Amino acid sequence: MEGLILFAVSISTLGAIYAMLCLSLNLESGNGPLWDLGIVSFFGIGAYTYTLLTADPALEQQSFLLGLGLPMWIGAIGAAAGGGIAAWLIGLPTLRLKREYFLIATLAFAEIIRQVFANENWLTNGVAGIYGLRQPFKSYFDAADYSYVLLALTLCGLAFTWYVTRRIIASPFGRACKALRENEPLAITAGIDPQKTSIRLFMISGALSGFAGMFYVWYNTLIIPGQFVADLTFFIWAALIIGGIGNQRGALVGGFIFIFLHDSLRFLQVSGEMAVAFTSLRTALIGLALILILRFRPEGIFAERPVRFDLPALKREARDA
Amino acid sequence: MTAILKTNRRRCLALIGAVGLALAAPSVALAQDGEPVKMGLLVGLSGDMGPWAPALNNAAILAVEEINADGGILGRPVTLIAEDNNSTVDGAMRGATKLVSVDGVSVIIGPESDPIVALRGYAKDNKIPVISTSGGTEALDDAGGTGTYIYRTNASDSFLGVVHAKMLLDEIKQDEVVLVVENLEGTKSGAETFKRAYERLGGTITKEITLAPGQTSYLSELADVASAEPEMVFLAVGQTAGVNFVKQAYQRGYEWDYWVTAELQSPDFVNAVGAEVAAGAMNPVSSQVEGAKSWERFSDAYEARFGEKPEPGFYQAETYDAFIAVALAMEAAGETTGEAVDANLIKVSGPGGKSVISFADGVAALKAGEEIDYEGASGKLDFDEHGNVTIPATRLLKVSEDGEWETVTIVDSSAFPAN
Repeated sequence: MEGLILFAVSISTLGAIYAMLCLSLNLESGNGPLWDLGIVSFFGIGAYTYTLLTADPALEQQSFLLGLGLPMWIGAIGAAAGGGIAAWLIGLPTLRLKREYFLIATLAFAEIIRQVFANENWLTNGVAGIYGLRQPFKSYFDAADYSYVLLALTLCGLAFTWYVTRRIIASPFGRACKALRENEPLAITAGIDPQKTSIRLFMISGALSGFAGMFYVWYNTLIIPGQFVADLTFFIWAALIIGGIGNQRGALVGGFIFIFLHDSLRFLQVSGEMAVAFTSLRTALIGLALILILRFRPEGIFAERPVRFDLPALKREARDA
Repeated sequence: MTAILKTNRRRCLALIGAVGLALAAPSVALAQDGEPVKMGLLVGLSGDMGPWAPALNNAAILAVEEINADGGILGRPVTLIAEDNNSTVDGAMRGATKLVSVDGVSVIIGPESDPIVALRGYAKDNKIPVISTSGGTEALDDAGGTGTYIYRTNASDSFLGVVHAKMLLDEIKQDEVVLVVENLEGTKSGAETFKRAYERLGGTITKEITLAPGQTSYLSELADVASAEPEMVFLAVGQTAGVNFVKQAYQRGYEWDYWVTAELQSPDFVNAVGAEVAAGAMNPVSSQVEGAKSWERFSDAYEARFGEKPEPGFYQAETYDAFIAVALAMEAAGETTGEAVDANLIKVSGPGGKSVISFADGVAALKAGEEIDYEGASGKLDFDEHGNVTIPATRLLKVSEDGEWETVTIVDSSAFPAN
C-alpha cells in the first residue's frame, strides 16, 4: 500500500506541474484571446534559466554558460523572468497576428527555441544536456521520504499559480482580456488597447510557464532539449480541453487527469511479450478520452461558467453607499 | 496530435485480446515455493527507442524463463515486470517509481542513455541497482560502480569511438573520411568520440557536416560533402535522416562508400534505401570472440524461443547478461535485495573465480563454495570500478550485394586503448 502511495506521489508531482502549465495556458488561451501553441518554449526557457543560474560550473567535458551556483530562490525569480522576457520578445512580432496566424507563429518559435537549446553548445551543453542537478532541501530529509517533500513544494507552486491566475482573471485586466477574446472591435470601443493588453497577458503567462519549468528540473534532476518538444504543448492543450478550457478548476484537474489516464495502464499486468504492444495503448487511451469528451462534453469536464453581474443589485448597493 | 492518436489496428486487436486474457486467466501456477523475486525491465517501449525495445524485452523474457527453469533464485520464482519509460527522462522517473514502489522490484535493467542518467540519484537513494544495457552516454564513463548502484553491460561510446577509428585505419586502411553527423544526442556523442580517436591515431577528417534532424531534403549538405571529394563517408546519423541522405546521394550519382554507426545497422535501413544502394556499407559492432561458447549458447536458445537469431548490435546479449549476472549476485549474497546485488554484482562477474556461462552452472559452483566469474553472451562482463565493461571483439559487418548484413571479419579488440 505504501508503495502505491509513493507512486501516486510521483505522478501527482508531475500532474501538478502539468496543472501549472494548464493554468497558465488557460489564462492566455482560455480566458484571454491568445491561441498559444508555443507554451513549451517558455517552460523550457524557465527550466534552462533556472538551471544555468543554480547549477554548479560546467565540468571539463561539458560546456555551458554560467553555472553560478546561486540560491534556488534567485533561480525561481530568474525562471519566471526568463519566461516573461522571452514572451515579450516573441510577442513583439507575433502579437500583430490574429488567432490562427498567431498560433502558427508560436509553434514555429517553439521549434526555433528547441533548436537553440540543441545547437548552442556553449550555452546549454547541447543535446547532451546538463545532469546531476540538485533538488531543494534534499539534505534535510531522509532520501526515502523526499518524494513527499517534492510533492509538497510542487503543490505550493501550484497553489501560487492558482492564486495568481485567479486574481488576474477576476481583475479588470482579466476582464479586458476576456472582452478581447469575445469581441475585439467592441473591446476597442470600450477603450481596451488590444496590443498592450495582449502583450501583458502573454508575458504573465510566459512567466508562469517559466516558473513551472523550475519544478520540472527538480523532478527530473537533469535537463535536455528533448524534454521540450512540441508534444508537450499538445499534451497541455489536450489536458486543458479534457478539464475544460476557460475554467480554472478545469485547468487544474485537467493536468492531473491527463497524467493519471496516461499512467493508469501501468497497473494492468500482462505477460512479457504483450508488454510491448500494450504500451502503445497508453497514448491511444488519451486520444480516446479526448474524442469522447469532445463528442459528449465538448466544453470539458468543467465547462466555463459565465460570470453574472447583478446590475440592479449593484446599482442599489452603490446608491445605498 | 497525430502522435497521440496514432495506433495500429492489428496491435489494437491483439491488445483487446490480451486484456481479455489478462483479466480471465488467473495467475499461472508457479513451480517453486515462496514469494517471487521481481526484476524490472525499464526500456523505451514507446517513443524514439520503440523500434529497439522489443528485442531487449525478448532477451529479458529468455533470461527469466531460463532462471525459472533452473529452479529460480534461492529457490524462489522470478517474475519479470516490463515497464515503459517513453524513451524520455520523466517517463523513466515514473516508470522506475512504479517498478520500485508498487511492484517492489529489487533491480531495474535496461534504461537507455538519458533515462539512466536521470535515475542516478534515484538508484542511490532507493538502493536499487539500475543497469543500462544499451546506453552509450559518456556521462556514465565514471559514474557507476559498487556503492553507486549504477552499471552498464554495453560498451561506452567513448570505447566505440576507438573501435571505429581502429577498424577504419587498420582493417580497411582508410585514413581520410568525411564525417556526417545528425544533431542528436546519441549520434553526436558517437561522432565526437570517433573524431577524437581517429585524429589521435593518425586519420584525417577532411570535412565535417551536420544534418538537422527531420529534413526531407539534404541536397545542400550533399553538395558540401561532394566538394570534399571523399572516398568514404562516415555516417553518424539516425534511420530517417540516414535513409534520406543515402538515397539522395545515389540519385545525384555520388558513389561514396559508407561507414555507418549502429543506428543504421539494421535490415530496415537496407530495405528502405534498396540493397543496390546500401551494398558495401560497413559497420563494426561489439561481439563475443568468434566461437565463444557463451554467445553460441545464448544465440541458440534465443533462436529456439523466438524463431529468429539475435541481431548483432541490438543489445539482446547485453540485456540477457545483465539479468543472469544479477540473479547470480543474488544467489551469491543469499538474499535478493538491491543492496545485495550492488555489493555482489562485480564479484560474480569476475575476473577471478570459476568461469561459468549459465545461471545453472553459476549456482552449482556457488553451492560448491567456489568463487565464480560469469562470462556473458556479450563478452567477459568484467566490470571495472566504474561499473563499465569492455568488449572482447569487434565484428565488421558489410551489406552484401543482395542486401544482407554479413560478417567480414572478427577482430580481437580487448587490447584497444580505452579512449
